[in-house]
Amino acid sequence: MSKLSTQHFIGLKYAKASDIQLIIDTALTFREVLDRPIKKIPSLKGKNIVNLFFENSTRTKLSFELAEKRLSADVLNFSASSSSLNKGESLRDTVQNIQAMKIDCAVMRHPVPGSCLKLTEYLDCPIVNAGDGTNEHPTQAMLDITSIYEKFGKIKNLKIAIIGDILHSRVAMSNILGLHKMGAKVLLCGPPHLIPKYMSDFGVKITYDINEALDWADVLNVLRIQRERMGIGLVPSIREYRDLFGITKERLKNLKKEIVIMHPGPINRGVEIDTYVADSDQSVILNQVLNGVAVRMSILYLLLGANIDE
Amino acid sequence: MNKKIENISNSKILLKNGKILNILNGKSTIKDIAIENGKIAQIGKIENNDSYLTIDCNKKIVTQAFVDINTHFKSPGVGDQETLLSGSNAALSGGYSKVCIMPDTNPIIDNSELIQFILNQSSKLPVNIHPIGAITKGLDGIDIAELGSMINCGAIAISDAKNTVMNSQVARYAIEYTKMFGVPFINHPENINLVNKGSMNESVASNALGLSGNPTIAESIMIYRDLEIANYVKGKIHIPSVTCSESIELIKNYKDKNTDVTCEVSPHHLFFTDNDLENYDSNLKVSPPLRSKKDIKTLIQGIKNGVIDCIASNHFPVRFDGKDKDFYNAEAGVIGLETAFAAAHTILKKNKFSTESILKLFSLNPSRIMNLELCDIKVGSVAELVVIDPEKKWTFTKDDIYSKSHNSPFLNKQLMGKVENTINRNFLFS
Repeated sequence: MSKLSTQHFIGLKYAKASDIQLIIDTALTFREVLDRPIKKIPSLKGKNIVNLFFENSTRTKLSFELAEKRLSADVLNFSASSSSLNKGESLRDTVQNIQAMKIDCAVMRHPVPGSCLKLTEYLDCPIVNAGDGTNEHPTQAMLDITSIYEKFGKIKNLKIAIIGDILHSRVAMSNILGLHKMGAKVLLCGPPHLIPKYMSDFGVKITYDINEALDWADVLNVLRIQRERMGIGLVPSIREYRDLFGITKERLKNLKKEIVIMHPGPINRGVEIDTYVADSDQSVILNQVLNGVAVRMSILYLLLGANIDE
Repeated sequence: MNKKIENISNSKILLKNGKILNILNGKSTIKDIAIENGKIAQIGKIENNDSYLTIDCNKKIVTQAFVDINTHFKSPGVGDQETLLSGSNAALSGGYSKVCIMPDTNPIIDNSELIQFILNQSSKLPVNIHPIGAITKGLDGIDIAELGSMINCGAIAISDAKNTVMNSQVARYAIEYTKMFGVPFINHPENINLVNKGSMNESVASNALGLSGNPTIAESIMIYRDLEIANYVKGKIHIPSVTCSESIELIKNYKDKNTDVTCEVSPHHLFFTDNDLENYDSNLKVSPPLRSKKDIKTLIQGIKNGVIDCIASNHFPVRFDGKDKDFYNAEAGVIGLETAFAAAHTILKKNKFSTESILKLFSLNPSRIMNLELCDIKVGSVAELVVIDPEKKWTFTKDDIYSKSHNSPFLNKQLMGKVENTINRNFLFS
């Protein structure tokens, strides 16, 4: 059984191309498990995994929990409201209790960039990043990449356009890093002030013209435009955003090719993506959700289960 | 060899065979100096005898002790980050005999009574502490404090410490009003709206780390405003911890117009770049943030051509748990008194600066900015001297820290040039 080159899975900036391929291959074998009538395998029986969620999350948390249960691990859930963080409780204080409980793996979602790397100083067990602020969300990127791989049978030389609010996205950076490592080309498209300055240094193309992005791309990864950003000077209105960057039926119809549509969810129908597009055959959005469970099973298995087989 | 700080009021000191460099006139000679009762008693060839505590200064430089114009002691305050005593010890070990402390204390130094209190305390301490009075009451940026009373009691400058005076009218009043006292107005150079919660320099590195960026324009725009006001009202300003190329260019332009402006740079901004943050080391979180390699180059050029007047430690003690956090939530600031000279010397020597020109940045130039008299080196002068070994290569460790806080990014760093001894009146670091 092959292993990952790192003890933790906290960012695609630390992963090798061979790690990414191994996660994809393992995930695709787990996809078969998920089609069985009894969707459970005993790989992580007796292992304790704690899910530390310092920030609200619905789908990522559900996906991790399901992945852990499918692998027969014992699951411990910890949710801290963001208010308790504001009271000044330190990460060290919070996790020291958990360390004492002798857990085997920690999955963490935290609003602050770099917090997962910090957690490796406090815990001895493998750590999986379930999103650390605007830094990385590597399991999301892995499920995106796996979904692309499943569709095309390869990643190399594919053209992926990421559309929307890159600045506040937890998904964009991990996708860029992972896709580049696998030999894909990446383009960013969104309002200029929502694309961080200096992004072109990462070897990505940048355009503010949605039609140019559509002409160029094989795959669109459409990011959610957060409604709370509206009206504070970042996005003037839903109507204006949809006019300039929305993935509409008309825009797709004008293309002479079929393009694969992805979205990390939750979708704002009628804002960044039209209902017709989200539900069309070109969309792999629900497939992404299923791959999310498989990819997380794959990562947990590779971090924890490889030892059991020996 | 363990160093210590002691009261020497009952002993006589002999500095033997040192190269005496008088920074006031640039002259140097190899001679001995005898010190009694806190004053220079004799200079020349002095026989060593048992009545002296002798310090061998062979191949070392004896010069005026340093002046730091940007120190935070957070004292009065809780006292767990620094006290006036621990801060003074840190300063003496770094070669300083005078430090100017910022008013971000608890209570805040925004009235003449507290200025008086600090000066009273200072008379018993190893270094002379010169308090800087707050510009606005409670550092609120709105209500101007009793600047005149504070200055008349001994406040050496006015500043709202790390709080930027954002209201331009308040800034104008303060700069204009203090003209009649001749003390500098010191404003933290960061426009808080443009900082926009950024915790590091906005750059490729901030993108790679996912940390929100604090752009150089936050600094340069603030500096530009203050320069314009100072130029308009013919006031005197000093700009603390300048970090980026844009700021240097602006300051140069206004110096060329004869605006009464001086500025300083901190050693850590010469030593580290934003790329050093790759592991989110919270000891490198400072305000303003660490910038790029290119900015460091411009800063060094700025020191060379005199746009930057001096080096200030920006000593900012933070408790262990204030730093033991994720990068975003960790407090900004580093301690710097112990390492300021060695760190700056290490970098500037590599850039072909003479040791004498570096020493000026620590004694002569800062004393002029603050209108402080630098003691002469002659018989009868107060002994405020430092002994430097400019060639010494050494590693800075926890044992070299005298501050109550340990938030130094220089720990385990190789440095060149060391403060071997400092004498301030009746106190000796040796």
